Amino acid sequence: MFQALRDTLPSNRWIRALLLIIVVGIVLTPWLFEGTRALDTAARLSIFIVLAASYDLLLGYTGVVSFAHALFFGIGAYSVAIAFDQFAPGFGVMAMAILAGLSVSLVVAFVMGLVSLRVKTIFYAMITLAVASAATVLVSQFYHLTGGEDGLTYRLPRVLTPAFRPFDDPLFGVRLTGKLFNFYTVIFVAILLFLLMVRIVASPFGRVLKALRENDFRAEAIGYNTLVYRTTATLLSAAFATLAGVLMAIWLRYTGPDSVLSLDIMIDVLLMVVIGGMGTLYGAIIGATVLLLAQMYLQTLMGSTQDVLGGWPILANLFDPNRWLLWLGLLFIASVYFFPQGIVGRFSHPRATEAEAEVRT
Amino acid sequence: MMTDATTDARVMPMLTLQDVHTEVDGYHILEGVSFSVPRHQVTMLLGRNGVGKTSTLRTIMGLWRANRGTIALNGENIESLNTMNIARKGLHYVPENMGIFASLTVGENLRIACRSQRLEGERLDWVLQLFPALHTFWHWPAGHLSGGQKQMLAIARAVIEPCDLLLVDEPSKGLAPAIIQNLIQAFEALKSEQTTILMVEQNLHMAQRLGDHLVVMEDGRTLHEGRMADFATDSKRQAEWLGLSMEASV
Repeated sequence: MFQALRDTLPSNRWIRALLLIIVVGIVLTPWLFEGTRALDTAARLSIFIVLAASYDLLLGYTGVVSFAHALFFGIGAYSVAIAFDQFAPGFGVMAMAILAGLSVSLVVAFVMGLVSLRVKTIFYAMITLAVASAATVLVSQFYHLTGGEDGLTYRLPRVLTPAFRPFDDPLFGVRLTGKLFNFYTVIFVAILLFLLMVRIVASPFGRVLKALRENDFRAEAIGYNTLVYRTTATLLSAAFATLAGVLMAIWLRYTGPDSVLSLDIMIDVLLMVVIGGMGTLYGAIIGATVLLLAQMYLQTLMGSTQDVLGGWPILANLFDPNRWLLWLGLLFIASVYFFPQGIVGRFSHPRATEAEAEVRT
Repeated sequence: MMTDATTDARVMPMLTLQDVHTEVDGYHILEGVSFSVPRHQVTMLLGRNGVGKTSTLRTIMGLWRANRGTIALNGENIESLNTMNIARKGLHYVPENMGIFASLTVGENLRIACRSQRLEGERLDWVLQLFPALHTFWHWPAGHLSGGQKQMLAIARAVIEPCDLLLVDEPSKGLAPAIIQNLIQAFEALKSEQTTILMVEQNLHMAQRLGDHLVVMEDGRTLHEGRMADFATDSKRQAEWLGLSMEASV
């Protein structure tokens, strides 16, 4: 595992430092930041990192453009939501729901993978878009089961709820409740899933994927079965997205089309991967952080900027909190303009520079 | 025929093409290619530009499908197999554009060429001895190498696992004379290992130094098959078949 981390980590020192800050920031959120909003942001961030990384496994490592990735996220979330809605909340039910969700996802991914062999790039992207839209329609049609547009609100096992208070004394000022336990379950599983993806990418299997992305004819002429590798990557990517959906359902205690299935989620994930850097995996961490923090706090930031600029009529107007989407858009344009390969991609031709230094000395 | 062939495997050619026709997008590119590649020898496939030399290699590799005719490797027909299975039969191919994986490091490129993805120490040492530059640039992304180094990597990748037959398409193309000398030495070392090679080459000097066997093509057909030694001294035929006294001075 450590070898895999060493092989894949971007060697740019600043990027490494940034990654460390983000991870430590997420893990220590209950102690570093006050309030439930910070806790919610950190949990969502860790879930979206897994989701974006799983999309990168597909987009960045195999070059397959799919708009149905949020569908797998949705399947994961809805499987837990429906199970908790229909049965008494318990860990056995949760385990069954996860298994069911994974099975459905794998079947759907396999069928879509078969289609992807017949049609190429843009046409495949269109098909996935159609499948994703169909899924949202299905969710609102089967409202008895899914809660329709309103979604489902359900109860979790007591251990994961704020009502669970095993200790009376707070630890370094933070009260230990089921909510905190829920938070750390999400974070721990997210870290585990991410490390698993790192391990996959650093494995011989991941190496073949990178070769395929670059020149699939060549990989085939070496004797690799491109079909098997592409399909496996698609299935793995779907499985990780499903598990991210499960985490989302557990954390939010609510599952609805807007929170797990919408096209907005899909576009967010696409942006996270592109901003962070395709085919880097670690780009997902930075991309998700930039995007989520911007979505959560840009408005607040602009509000305070406007207060500071109170005396300047036009400038103050520009920074009106209601214009935050405009600034978010500018932020995207700037990031794509300055970092066309993504933030991590921009700073990582690292091994070359290291080797060059070695050769020169 | 099989019994004759199996009685003395050394006499049976490694590869035999019999009246191979290939059409690509409606264009008839190969119109009857027949020749054989003798075992443990270097066969040179020569001819003017556009006569179908690269197409012949691509057809052997299954990258283009032969419409007619047979291609037999060790007596077994392979023309209906797909590229992956042909590669698994022990045919290694170094295409003209070298086809290295630019974003992978030199080491990863070599590792991926072994399907077990484990580099075997002795063989690796031997390959790195042939191409010392690869050792120096082991951790570099292969895309950062120079043209000559990329060619060396492409060949190293093809021989990192022992293969039955090595197909090489114009290895000297666009390389400086000094590097061509290096390449010739590397191929001579491969030859001494009794590797069977089928090579397309425009550099007559290189072709003469390495070749044992010779196939000349014209207009998608085989024009001549024979010993390289006879052809090397026949400047009339060289001019007639290849249309030039070529870069013989290199």
